[in-house]
Amino acid sequence: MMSLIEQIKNGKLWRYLGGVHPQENKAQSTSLAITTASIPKHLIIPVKQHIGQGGQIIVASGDRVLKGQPLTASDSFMTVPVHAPTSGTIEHIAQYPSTHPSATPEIAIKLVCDQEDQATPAQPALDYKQLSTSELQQHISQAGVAGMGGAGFPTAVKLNDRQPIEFLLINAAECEPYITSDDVLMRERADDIIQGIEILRHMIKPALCVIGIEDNKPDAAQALEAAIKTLSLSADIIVRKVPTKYPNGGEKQLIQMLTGKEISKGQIPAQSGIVMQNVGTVYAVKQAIIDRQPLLSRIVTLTGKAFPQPRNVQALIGTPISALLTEFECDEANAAAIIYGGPMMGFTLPHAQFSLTKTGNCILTPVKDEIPQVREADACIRCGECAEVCPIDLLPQQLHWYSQAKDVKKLNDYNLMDCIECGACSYVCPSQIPLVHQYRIAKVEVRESDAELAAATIAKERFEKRNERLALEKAQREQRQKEAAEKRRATAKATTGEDPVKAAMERIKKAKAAEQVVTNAQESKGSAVADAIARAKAKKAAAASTDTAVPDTPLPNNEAVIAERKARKAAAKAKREAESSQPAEITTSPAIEAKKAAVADAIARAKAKKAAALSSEMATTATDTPAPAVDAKKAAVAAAIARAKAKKAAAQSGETATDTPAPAVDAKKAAVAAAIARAKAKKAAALSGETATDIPVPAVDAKKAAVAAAIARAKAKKAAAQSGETATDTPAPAVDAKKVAVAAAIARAKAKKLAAQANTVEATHAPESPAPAVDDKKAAITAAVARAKAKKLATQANTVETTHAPESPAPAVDDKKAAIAAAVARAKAKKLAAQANTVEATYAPESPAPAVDDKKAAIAAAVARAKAKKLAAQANTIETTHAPESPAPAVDDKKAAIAAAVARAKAKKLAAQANDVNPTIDPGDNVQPTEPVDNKKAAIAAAIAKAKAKKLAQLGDK
Amino acid sequence: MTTILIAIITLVILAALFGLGLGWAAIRFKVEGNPVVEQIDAELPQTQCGQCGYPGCKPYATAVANGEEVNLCVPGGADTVEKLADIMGVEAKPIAEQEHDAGVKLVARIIEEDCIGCTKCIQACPVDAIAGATRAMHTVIVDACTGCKLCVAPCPTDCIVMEPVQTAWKWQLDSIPVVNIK
Repeated sequence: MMSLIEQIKNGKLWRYLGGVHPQENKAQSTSLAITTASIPKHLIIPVKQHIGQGGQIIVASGDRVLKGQPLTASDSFMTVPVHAPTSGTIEHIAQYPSTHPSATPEIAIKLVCDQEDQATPAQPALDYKQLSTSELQQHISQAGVAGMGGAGFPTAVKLNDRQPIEFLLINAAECEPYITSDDVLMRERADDIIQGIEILRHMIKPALCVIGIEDNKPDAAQALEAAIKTLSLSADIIVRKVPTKYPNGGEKQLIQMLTGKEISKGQIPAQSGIVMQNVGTVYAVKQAIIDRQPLLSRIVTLTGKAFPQPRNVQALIGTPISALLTEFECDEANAAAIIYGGPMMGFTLPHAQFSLTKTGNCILTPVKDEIPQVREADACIRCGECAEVCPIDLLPQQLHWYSQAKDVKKLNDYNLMDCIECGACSYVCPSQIPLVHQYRIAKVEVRESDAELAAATIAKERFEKRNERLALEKAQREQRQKEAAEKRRATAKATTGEDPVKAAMERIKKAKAAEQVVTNAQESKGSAVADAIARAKAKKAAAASTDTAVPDTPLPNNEAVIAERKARKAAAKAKREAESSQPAEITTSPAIEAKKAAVADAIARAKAKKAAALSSEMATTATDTPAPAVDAKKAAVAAAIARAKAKKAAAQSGETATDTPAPAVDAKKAAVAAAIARAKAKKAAALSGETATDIPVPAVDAKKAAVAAAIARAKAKKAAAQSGETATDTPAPAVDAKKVAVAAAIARAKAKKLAAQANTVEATHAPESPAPAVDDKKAAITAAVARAKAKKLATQANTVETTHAPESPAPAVDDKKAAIAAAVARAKAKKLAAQANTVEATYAPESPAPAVDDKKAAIAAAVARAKAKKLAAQANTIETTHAPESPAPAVDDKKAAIAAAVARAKAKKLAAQANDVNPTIDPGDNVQPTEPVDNKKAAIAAAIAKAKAKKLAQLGDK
Repeated sequence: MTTILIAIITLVILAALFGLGLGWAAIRFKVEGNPVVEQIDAELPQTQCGQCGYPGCKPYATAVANGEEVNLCVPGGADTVEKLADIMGVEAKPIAEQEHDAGVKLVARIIEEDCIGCTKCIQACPVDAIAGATRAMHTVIVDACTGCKLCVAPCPTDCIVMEPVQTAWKWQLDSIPVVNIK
C-alpha cells in the first residue's frame, strides 16, 4: 500500500460529489497578453480589504506619497497594511461605499495620481533562504500580501511553522466561467510563480507541493511545468491537472481532489497538514520578497460582450471601475450590468464608481442576452436537483424551507454555515429560486441568533454575579455593624465599669415601673390632682430619697399646675436618662414628657438667674425696700426669684440665705420682701453689667403669692434642716431649684392670664421678665422679631404701637422660651393695639416697676404713654411705632441689641432715680424714644443712654 | 376454581411487588428541583428586565413551571411564547402588551454631557452593564446591555436614551442607499 504522497505522485486523483458544468466563456479574454492599465486620475484605496480590522492610517490629507509607500501600519499579521500604488498626493481620507453587495461605507484613502509613478528607493532582494519563517512572515505581511483568490485572507497568518505541513497545494483551478486572470498570469509569469513557491516551501517545508490546475488551461500548465524543470524542482513540485468542473477552485473541494482528504466542519486545512495558496498570492509573495515590491496591482479580466476586446489587465489597486471601463472602451450603454466577479459568484455593481480591491479578479459586463436574466422565482417543485449538485453534500431544498421559516435550530442541524455559496444549486433550480441569496440572509439570522444566545448566557451570568455581590455586601455590612456595636459595648464597659446594655435595661425597667405607677394612679383615680400626687410619690420612691414629712399644707388652687409641672419634670428626667445611654424604650406619655421638658427649662432659667445674682453681694443692705409693685403679683414673683437666689447662695456659699426675709403670710410683707429681692437682683445685674429686666410676672393675686411664699419658706426650712443652716424665715429657695422655677413659672402663667384678661399695663410684660439676658444676641433676635411684628402691626393698624414687647424678653437661657415669650408679647401687643389703641400698653416692661412707690410708677407709666403717643403722632410710620426699645427696625441685630440695652438701662435709671436723689436725668428726657429716622443716630443715642444709665446705676448703688 | 385463585393471588403478589418497587424507585431516584424550570429558563432571553412581573428570568421560569401564563415575556417575543407553550403543553397566546418596534433590539446610551454621576442607574441595572462610580462619568457597556430599560427611569437628569443596536446587513439588495450616477 503506497503512502499518500506516493499515490499523489503517481497521479492519483479523487473526486467530490456534485458540481456543475456551466459554459466556460474563457477563450474570449486569453487571446491578448496582459495589458498594463494606465494610471488613472485618482485612486480610492480602502483601508481594510480583508476580514478583521484595518491598519492604522499613517498619512494625512495633503501628503505626497511615493509608489509603494505604506499608507497604513499594522503590528499583527491579521491586519495587512495597504500601500500607495503610485505616486501622488493624498486628497482626503473619507467614507466610500465598499465594493461589496451591501455597499457599506468604509474608510478609504483618495490618492490623486501625479502620473509620475515615482517609486520609493529600491531595496535589494531578500535572501530568503537565510531568513527564518517568522522574518519572512513579517516581510510578507508588511508588503500587504493577502489572498488573491477571492477571500483576501492575510497570507502571513497561513505561512507559519507551528504545525507540520505535508502538502503545499497551489490553487490554479480558476473554475469560474469568464475569468482568466490566473490563466494568463501562469502563462506569462510562470518563473515568478515557481520562485514564489520556493519561498513558501522554505517557510513551511512541506513534503510535497502540488499545483492543482484545471485541464481547460493546457498552456498555463505547460508553462508551469517548463518553469519547474528549469529550476530542477520536478521532484518537489507537481503540476496536477484536474477535470474541469465548477467549483473545483473551492479550497476544500480542491484539497479533496488532490489529496483525498476531507476537511471537517470547523477545521482548517493546516490541522490536516495542508496549506493552500492561490497562484496570484504566490506571485505577490515573490514580488514582496525578491522584488521588494508590496502588493500594488493585480490582474483583472475585463470581459463580457460590452467590451469590444475582452482582455486581462494589470490594474492598480484602488482603480475606479469606471476608469477601466472607459480606458478599455466598454459599451456601458449596452451593458446589462456591471458584474464584479464571475457569473456564478460575482455581484452586480449599482454603478461604476467603486474601486478595484485586492480580491477583484474580473469585471464582467454582459450584454442583454448573454447571461440569463433574473426572473421571478416560482415555487419549489421538490425536484432535488439542487441536492445533486451541492459540492458540500448539503440539502439545499431543506435549507430553502428552513431559511424561509427562519428556523435557526434546523438550519444548524442541516449545516447551513458550511455552505460556500458557490451558486450551483441556484444555477440548476428549475424554479429559478435565488437559493444562495436566501442562504445568505439565513446565515445572518443564524449568526444573530447565536450572538443573542451568547449574550443571554452572559447576561444571566452577570445577573447572578450581581446578586451574589449584593448579598455579600449586605452580609459584610451587617457584620461590620455588629462588630462596631460589640466594640462600643466593650469600650463603654471598660471606661464606665458597667455594661451599658445592662444599665440601659435597668433604666428601662425603672422607667416602666414609674410609668406603671402613674398609669395605675391615672386609671384608678382619674383626677389630675391625685395623678400628680401619685407621680410625685412614684418619683420619690424611685429616687429613694428620704424626705422628712413635708408639711403638706393644703395646696392652693394652683396645685394642679404644680403637680403637672412635677410630672413633666419626672418625665423629662426619665427621658433624658434613657436617651443618654442606649435608645431605650421609655413609654412615658407625650404629655408627661412635655411637662418634664418645660420643667427642665424652668430649671435652666432659675440657674441662670442664680448665676447672675452670684456675682453680686446678696446680703447687702436692703437699701430700699421698693414699695410693693403696683400689684401684689410682682411681689410674689419677686419672692420666687428671691428664693431662687437664696437657694443658690445657700447652696454655693453656705451663707444663710438672708436676702429675702420671708414675708409673713401677710401680703404686705411678702410684697416688701419681693420688692427688696427685686432691687437686689437689679443691683446685681447692674453691677455685673447685665441688663436686668427683672420684673417678674405678678401672681394672680396676693394670696397666691403669699401661699407660694409660704411654700418656699417651708422648703427653705427643710433645706436648712438638711444642711444645718439656720434659715428660719428665709423663704430660702427650696431644696429643689426646680420648685422655685416652678413657682416662677406659675407666676408667669398667671401673669399671662391676667394680661389677657385685664388689659393693663403690666399684662403685656409677662413672660420675659425672668432672668436678665445672659445672651444679648438672643435678646436681639427676639427684639428684631418683635420689631418686625410691630412694623406689621403698625402698618396694619396704624396705631401708635404696642410692639414694645421685644426687648423685654429677657433672653432666657433658653432660646425657645425667649421665642415663645416674644411671640406671646407680640400677641399681646397686637391685641392691645387692636383693642385699646392705647399708647402706654407697650411701655410697661422696660420701665420696670422698680418704682419707688406706686405713685412714681404710675408717673413713669404715664410718661411712657405720652411719649408713645408723641411718637405715633409724629411719624406714623413703621419706625416710630416703636417705642424706646425698638429704636429703628434696625437692619442688623447689633443695633437691636444696643437698643435693647438702651431700653433696659433707661428702665434701670428710672428705678434708680426713684431711689436716689439724683435727679439729674430727667426720666422724661432719656426715655425719649430715639426717633430713629436714622439708624446711626439711634445707635449713637442708644450708646449714650446706656452709658448714662450705667453711670447712674453705679452712682445709685454707692 | 383453584386455578382462578392461584391466578388472582399471583397477580396480587406481582402487583404488590411492583408497587413496592415503584415506591422505592420514587424515593431512590427522586430528582431535586424541577428540571422543567431549567428547560424554560433556557428559552428565556435573560434580559432580567422584569416586564413579566417577576424579578428576573429564573423566577418567571419557576412561575411558568407552576402554571403561570406563558405569554408574559415581552423581550422574548412570540417565539418564546411558542417555545414555552411547547414545553408546558399549553396553548400559545399572543403577548398581552406588545410594544411598538418589538423586534428591534435596543441598548441604552448615556448622554455624557448630562450625566451627574449619581450612580442611580448603576444600582438599577440588573446585569451591571453600566460602568461608573460616584461623581464619575457613567457609561453603558453595550455588549452587556440587554435593553431592559430599567435604567431610564431612575436617572434624575433624564440622560439615558434607548437606541437600536447596529445589526448586520440582511442582504436587502433593494435597499442599498446608492445613487446611480453616470
